[in-house]
Amino acid sequence: MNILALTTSYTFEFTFISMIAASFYFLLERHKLSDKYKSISSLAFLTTALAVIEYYQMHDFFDLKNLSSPTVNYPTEFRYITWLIATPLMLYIFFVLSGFYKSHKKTVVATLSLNFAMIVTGYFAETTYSNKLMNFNFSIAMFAIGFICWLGIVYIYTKYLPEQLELTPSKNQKDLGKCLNILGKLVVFGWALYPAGLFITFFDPSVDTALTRELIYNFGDLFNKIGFSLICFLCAVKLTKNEAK
Amino acid sequence: MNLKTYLPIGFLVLAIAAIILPKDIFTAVLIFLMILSGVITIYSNIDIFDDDERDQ
Repeated sequence: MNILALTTSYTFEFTFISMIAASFYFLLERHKLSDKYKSISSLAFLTTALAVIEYYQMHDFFDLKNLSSPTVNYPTEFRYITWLIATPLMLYIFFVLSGFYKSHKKTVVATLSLNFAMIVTGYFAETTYSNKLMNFNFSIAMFAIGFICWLGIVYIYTKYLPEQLELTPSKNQKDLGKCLNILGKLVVFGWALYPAGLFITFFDPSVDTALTRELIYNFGDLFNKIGFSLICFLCAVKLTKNEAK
Repeated sequence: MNLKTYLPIGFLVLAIAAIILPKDIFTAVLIFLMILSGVITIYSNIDIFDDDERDQ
């Protein structure tokens, strides 16, 4: 029995069930938020619920028969579709939480554009390399563009937004600062898993490495999607309490 | 700087090491530690919005 294939299959189930649990949590705990912050619950729910739908679609790929076969099919397209929809929602949650979606519209557009470019170029890099559609240099160039876009998002979340938060004093400033600090760490260290995983498979195309990468991606999705949404949701609960004081 | 600061870095480093290094029982240990650091990172941060007394 292929232990690695078995473990990858089980971690997929684990992430799938955790996403369902998180979706229910964001709906059931919605009453803790004031009307002003109810949209945070909706965005957090959408982030994890969309992941549930995509994970359901990916179910066949994580079947033990597929994972154990020498010609494994990977759910690359499904993963990128999920990221294309879920990541803008995740990034937008903080803008709604802080009210920056009204005052910093250009930053919102820049963040979402960088995110879109990062995922599209990442997809081209991965699919052209794995299907041998273009030469290696093209894939590396696409990867480099996607990587630069990710660095742009890192700059916005770790440098630009904290500065803007300092410039707009409010009673929620401290809590938003704490929230942003954690989100910044997730964008830097949690999101770095994906370019790292892609870059490694450029130089090591073995099935074992690809399976381990899928396993790590399952946990990456778990921590990034649920972690990101949960931190924003709990910050919204705190801001609701601040309103009542 | 306490251990908590290094957990997100540990999460990433362990994940990359698990993908790169040869796949054996040591990979399972790396992945276990990676999950542990991820869980502790999230868990140790979710209570920070309810620490009014500690802040005072």
